[in-house]
Amino acid sequence: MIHVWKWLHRLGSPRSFFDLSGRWLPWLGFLAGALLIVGAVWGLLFAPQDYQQGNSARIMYVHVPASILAQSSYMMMASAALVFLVWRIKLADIAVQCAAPIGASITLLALVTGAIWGKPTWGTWWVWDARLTSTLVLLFLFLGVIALRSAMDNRDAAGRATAVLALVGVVNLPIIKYSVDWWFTLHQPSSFSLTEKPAMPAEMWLPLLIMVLGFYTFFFVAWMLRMRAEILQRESRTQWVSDLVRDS
Amino acid sequence: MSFNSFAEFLQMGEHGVFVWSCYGITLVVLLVNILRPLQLKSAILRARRQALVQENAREGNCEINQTHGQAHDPLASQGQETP
Repeated sequence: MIHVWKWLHRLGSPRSFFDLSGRWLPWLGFLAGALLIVGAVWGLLFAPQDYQQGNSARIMYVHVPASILAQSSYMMMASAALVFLVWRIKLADIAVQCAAPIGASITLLALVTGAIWGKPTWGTWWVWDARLTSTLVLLFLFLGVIALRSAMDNRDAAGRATAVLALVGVVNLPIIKYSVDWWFTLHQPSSFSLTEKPAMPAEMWLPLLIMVLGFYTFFFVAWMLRMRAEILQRESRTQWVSDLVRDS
Repeated sequence: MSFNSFAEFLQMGEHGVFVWSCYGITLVVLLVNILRPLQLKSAILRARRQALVQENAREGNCEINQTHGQAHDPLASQGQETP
């Protein structure tokens, strides 16, 4: 147990994180690329078409992973915010700051692919129903975190304020999740659940599962890349960054 | 394989535009999220390298100045550095 704490403590220092993430990134990057390519080729070429929707159902292989990741990335950002507020770990603040733009872009991706899928399926790009509206709110929460940070000059105060905003926004997550059960909606219920077998055949949910894993791995890669750049920026006056510059 | 020909694959029934625009947008969003931080990182390192080179040059000047009996003011150089 002591070892785990020591390891976590070391990981909490920006410099150690920079070193460790540099070693992990090639592997994670390769894994993300492989999962996404296999999943996309499988979903586009080999998965059967939907008996009702035809080939437009292939949008599922990007829309569903993007939507799942949009919510999870908010959860991860909020967890980092909690860690920062409780333990004042600098790296957690960097994590919050760097998760926001990635989360915003993935949420936008979920909304746009959803709209494009909605047109041939529901006959409309957009409806103001609970699922879509609460996902739009999720996008605004991400944008709010970005805007609040850039509006404040004092890094410490900005870190605390964005962390609080990120935590308050967590209320939106159960609303997104249960919106398809609580309100009447055009949106179909969840594709995956932990307790039940998926309603679709294996030739469809397997590539979907691979895409979901690929999106998650991609998120960690993008998150680490952004955090590394931010660490260099914040620590640019330190000796180890100067050494890094001289050696490179 | 769900398609008999490449043309059929591109058409996706009548949904080609919808399917391919989704995959295209996804590719762009994923790529931007990877390339942008890499670009940021190299820009930060480049700026830092230039600053270090300037610092070294100034230290070099400082030695020359000292031979002429002029003291180097370290505060002035620090002031110029802050962005």
